[in-house]
Formats: sequence, C-alpha cells, structure tokens
Amino acid sequence: MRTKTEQEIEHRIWRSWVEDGLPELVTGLGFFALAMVLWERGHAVGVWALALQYLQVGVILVLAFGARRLVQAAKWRVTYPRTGYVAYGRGGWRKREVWVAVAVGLVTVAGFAFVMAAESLSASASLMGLSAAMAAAFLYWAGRRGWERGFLYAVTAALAGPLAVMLSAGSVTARTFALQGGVHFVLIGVAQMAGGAWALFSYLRKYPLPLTPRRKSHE
Amino acid sequence: MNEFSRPWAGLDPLVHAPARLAILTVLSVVEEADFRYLLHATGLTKGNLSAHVGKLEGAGYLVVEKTFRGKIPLTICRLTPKGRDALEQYRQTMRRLLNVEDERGSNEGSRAVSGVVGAL
Repeated sequence: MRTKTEQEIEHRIWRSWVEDGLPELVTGLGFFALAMVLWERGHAVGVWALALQYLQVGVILVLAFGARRLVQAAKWRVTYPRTGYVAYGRGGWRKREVWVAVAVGLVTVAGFAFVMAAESLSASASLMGLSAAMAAAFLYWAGRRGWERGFLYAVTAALAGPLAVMLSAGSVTARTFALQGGVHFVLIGVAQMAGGAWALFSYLRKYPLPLTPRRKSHE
Repeated sequence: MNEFSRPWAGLDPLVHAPARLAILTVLSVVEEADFRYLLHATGLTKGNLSAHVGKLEGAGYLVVEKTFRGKIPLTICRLTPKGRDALEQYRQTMRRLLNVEDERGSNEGSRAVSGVVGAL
C-alpha cells in the first residue's frame, strides 16, 4: 500500500518528466507525421494506398513504443544536467499505467483500421468518436497528474474532430476520412509542439545550466 | 521494559532523521536518481545531502555509483533491499506506535508523533 507522501512523490516525478516539454515535442512531431501519412493516403490510390496504410500503423507503433527512447536521449542533453536524472520505479504503478496506455493504443489502432476497412461507416461519426476519445485521454492525464497543458490538448482534441468534419461534411468514404483525420492530427500535433516548445523555453529560463568547476575557476 | 513503555525504541535512528527519511522515501518510488535530482526533490543543501547520503551508504541502505556521462560527473543513488526493508520496518513501527498512543488516549503523545510525521 502506498502512502500519500509516496503518491505525491510519484506525481512529482511524472510532472518532472513532462516539465521540460520534450515529450510533447516528440509526440507532437509524431502526430504531425501521422497527419502527413493520412494526407498522402487521402490522395494516393491502389498499391500505394495499402502500403501507406501499413506505414500509418508503423508510425503509430513507433509513437507508442519508440518515443520514450527519443525523449530520454534528448533529456540527457537538456534536462538532466539542469534538474537531475531520475529513472522511474519498476513497481506496479508504472507497469499498470503502461498496460492501460498500450491497451488504449491498441483499441484505437484497431478502431482506426476497422473504419479504414469499412467504408460504409460514417467517416464523420468515426472521427468525432476518435476526437472525443483523445480528448478524454488527455483530460484523464491532466486531471490525474495535475498536468495543466493536458487540458489545452484535451480542448484541442475535442475541437479538432468537429473542425475536420466541417471541412467535408456528408462524405462517407475512407478517403475522406483519411483527409479529415489528417486535419485532425495536424491540429493536435501543432498544439502539442507549440505547448512543448513553450514549456521547454520556460524550463530553460527557469533552470539555467549550473556552472561546472572549470567554469567557476575562471571567474 | 516492554513495547508499551518505550514504543519508539524500535525506530531506526538512521531512518528517523527527516532529511534521511526524505531521501529514502524519494528513492523508494524510483529505480534510481542522481545527486542533482535528490537536491531538487528534498530541498537539502549539497553538503547536507552529501553527508546524509554518506551515512545511508555506510549503513548499506543505499548504493552510490560515481560515473561519467560524457565529461559530466554523475552520482547515481539507488536503494538497496536492506534500505527498503529498513524503510518498511520504520513505517510499520511508526504505524504501531501511533496506534498505541491512540489506544492510550494520550493526545499529547499522539500530537508529538504526528508532528514528526507531518514534518516529513
């Protein structure tokens, strides 16, 4: 059983992970890349369309499993020299959250693939559903971890769906869904990159690089 | 003398100090952390943190690994199983101690002990 102090420390560790904005910059870039793939799919036909569909799933998987390594590498250069290095515990809390994230990711990918396959489904309704699911996920993390920027992303995700649908209302083809999805993910990606860049700028201003002994001796 | 006459006798003085308890608690929820992170997390000064980490390392509660990341020195601290046990033992003793004080109805004693816990 975890004490309140330990839970508070866990929250603080999670906040320190997102404080520098680097995770959002990477995931924002990922969403942007996904949007580009979708946009391409909306225009491509035949074999290319199928190949790009696989690429799209690949991008989602890289985003889900590879982003952490990329963020960690960036943190070794930017964050850890300033506020210190910390590695998450191997305890149940992290494992649980990772499994929840993986499950949500897989359900999203499966839903997405299903919509791509079944053109009879209303593209607009599906996109609205995806938009609502993403907004709910951002709201969950924002509320659970006290992550203020998460609320901004939740609002962006909630608005991105209806906005993308408005661009080509009434269409039911998978191609239209891909184009609308592209608009949807571009908006979320740009919001995350902007939020991440702002957070990184604030972080760098708040925590300047400490003086090394050699630099100190020259003063 | 029994447990009821000196219930706090079971408290490990190495863990009981607020600074060392803060270090152990932070390390108990992470896999490892470096010296700079502990400075930020505990709010201690460099000298103070260094002294307390040294004491905990001497008792075998922590492992301190001095390494380099490029040209930057890195001091990584990790809790040992012995340290984890000591912290768990401390928590249990403290919980029992608070219960004993409650049963006695000694408000003053409870307040004193709660004050120590609250200060952590």
